[in-house]
Amino acid sequence: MISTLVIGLSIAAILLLIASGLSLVFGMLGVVNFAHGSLYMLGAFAAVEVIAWTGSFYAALVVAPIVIGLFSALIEVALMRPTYKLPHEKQMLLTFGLVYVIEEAARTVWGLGYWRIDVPAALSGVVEIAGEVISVYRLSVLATGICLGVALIVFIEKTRVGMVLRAAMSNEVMVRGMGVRISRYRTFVFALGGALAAVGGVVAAPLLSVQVNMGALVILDSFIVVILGGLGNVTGAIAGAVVLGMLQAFGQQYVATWVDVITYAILVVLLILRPQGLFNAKASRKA
Amino acid sequence: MTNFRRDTLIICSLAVLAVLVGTFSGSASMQHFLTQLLVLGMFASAFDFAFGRSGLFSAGHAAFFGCGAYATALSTLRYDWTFMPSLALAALVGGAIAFVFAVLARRVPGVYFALATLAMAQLVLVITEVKLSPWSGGSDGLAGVPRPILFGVDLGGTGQYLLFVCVVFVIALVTLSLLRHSPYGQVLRAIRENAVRAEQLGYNIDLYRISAFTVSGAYSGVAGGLFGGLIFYVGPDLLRMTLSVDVLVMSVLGGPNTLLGPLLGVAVFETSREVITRYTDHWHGFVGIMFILATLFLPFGLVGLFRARRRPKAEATAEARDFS
Repeated sequence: MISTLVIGLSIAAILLLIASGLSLVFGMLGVVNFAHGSLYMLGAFAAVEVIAWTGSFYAALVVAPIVIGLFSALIEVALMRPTYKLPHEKQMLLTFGLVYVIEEAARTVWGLGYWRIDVPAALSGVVEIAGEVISVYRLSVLATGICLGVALIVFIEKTRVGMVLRAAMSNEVMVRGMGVRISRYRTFVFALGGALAAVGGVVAAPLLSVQVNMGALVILDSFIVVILGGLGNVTGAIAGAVVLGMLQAFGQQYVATWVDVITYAILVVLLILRPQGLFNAKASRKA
Repeated sequence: MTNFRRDTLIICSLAVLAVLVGTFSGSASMQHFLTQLLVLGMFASAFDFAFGRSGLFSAGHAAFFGCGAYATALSTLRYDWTFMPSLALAALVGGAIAFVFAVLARRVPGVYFALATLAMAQLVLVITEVKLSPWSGGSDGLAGVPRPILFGVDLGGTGQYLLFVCVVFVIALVTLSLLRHSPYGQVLRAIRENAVRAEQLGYNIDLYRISAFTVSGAYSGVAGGLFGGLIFYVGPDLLRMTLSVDVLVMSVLGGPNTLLGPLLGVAVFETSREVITRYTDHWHGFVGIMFILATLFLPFGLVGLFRARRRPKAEATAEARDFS
């Protein structure tokens, strides 16, 4: 029971790292970014490379998000920026193009095989809680998710930059009128989202195996989390991640063949009854 | 009706061209490829009737295509139907599923409509692949889907099947074009441009949207049924999100809400796949670059290349939408 709970929460932590960036990018840029899963995948491969050079998992945890963050900033400036005025389907065409290009590049460099990242020695043990064996690494993934989730909320709710972001999501024209350079904030948000996804990729790597289509496998789940929480709402994304993580962990345990059916059924019902998500007051103007 | 006549002429010439090229090339792989172009072209045009004409941003059209394919395969293989009734069943099933999607999602705004149709299509996929696997063949799919025998003539050969698909293609595209140019089609366009105004003018926009989506689903179902006959097989891949995305991308790439746009998108997409995979394994990378360049430099799709004059007007409407 407790081990299933921890598994569910660690899934939730990884989903949160990906979905929070996805949600922020939608709120700020108005783009449904299908390439977000590819950034997560690139984060994991960056970690593979950093570990091959330095041998340190912790170095990878620092370097990979920085590299992917910079890469994301580059994508935003070069490719996303000209598309903000275009309708959603055009932006989707662009992000699908990005998915194809990034995955093709990754396939060319790393091939179709599976790459493993070992759990760092200090976190490789197990602890016993209430008679159940629980992996220390899953607990540390959970702790990472909580720390970054809290940091993100504090950042958005309490700092000046966060305040500008919230203001821009609700009325961008007004914020621009007050002399704020929105384009810089957009670049920043896209880079932040990419960096968070990369952290997700690095911490997920020892639990899964690193492979080119890991981004495609996670992107639908991340969208579900974002929709549950409401597009653009990070606090909602946390709740959405916990709901989906639990559903997957307990569902796999008890009703394995029904997990996907239940997940998508919930999603359909939610989208029809409350398209704005469980935690948003009303549908975003940008939709 | 001059536009309709022009469209009919273009559709018929395309079909005749396909038959001529298929016959004189004499190669079965060429005929197979042309048939695939026509089937997917029909699917993309059906998609565009919902997306380009009516503004219904669907990300779940694979559900209609795939269910049409499954309807044909199951009725012929499990219940010994002949091909023509099973193709009619494909239209019915595709239309019925699209009707359910549209009724459920009719008030879901903008990009959420895309996400809702995507979620419903995923639901159809997991139910078909996992829960109905004894009946639907599960992940293995169903092999041995037959081709039609009409009035004692066996249309099983690749060349004959191309001819048969051409006829269905012409009927489908001409009727779709008739719908587009009819008063009904004009109302759909009005709703896409400004739903509030159309509603104020007294049109029941829910009814129009649902019916347009159903029509689009029915044509997609027929395309799916023909596709099953073409490759002698149906499987869960025909229901996957990848296909929904492909048809969206082909339509947007070609130029939405035009007769030639979706067809051109399909032709360029599929031809580039055929040609590029001959030289390198990196086809997806090339397609990705093509999408990115098309988004950045071709605001009206490939058709826009031939219509430079209409640019300013369309840009004005894009801006008007941006500020609304």
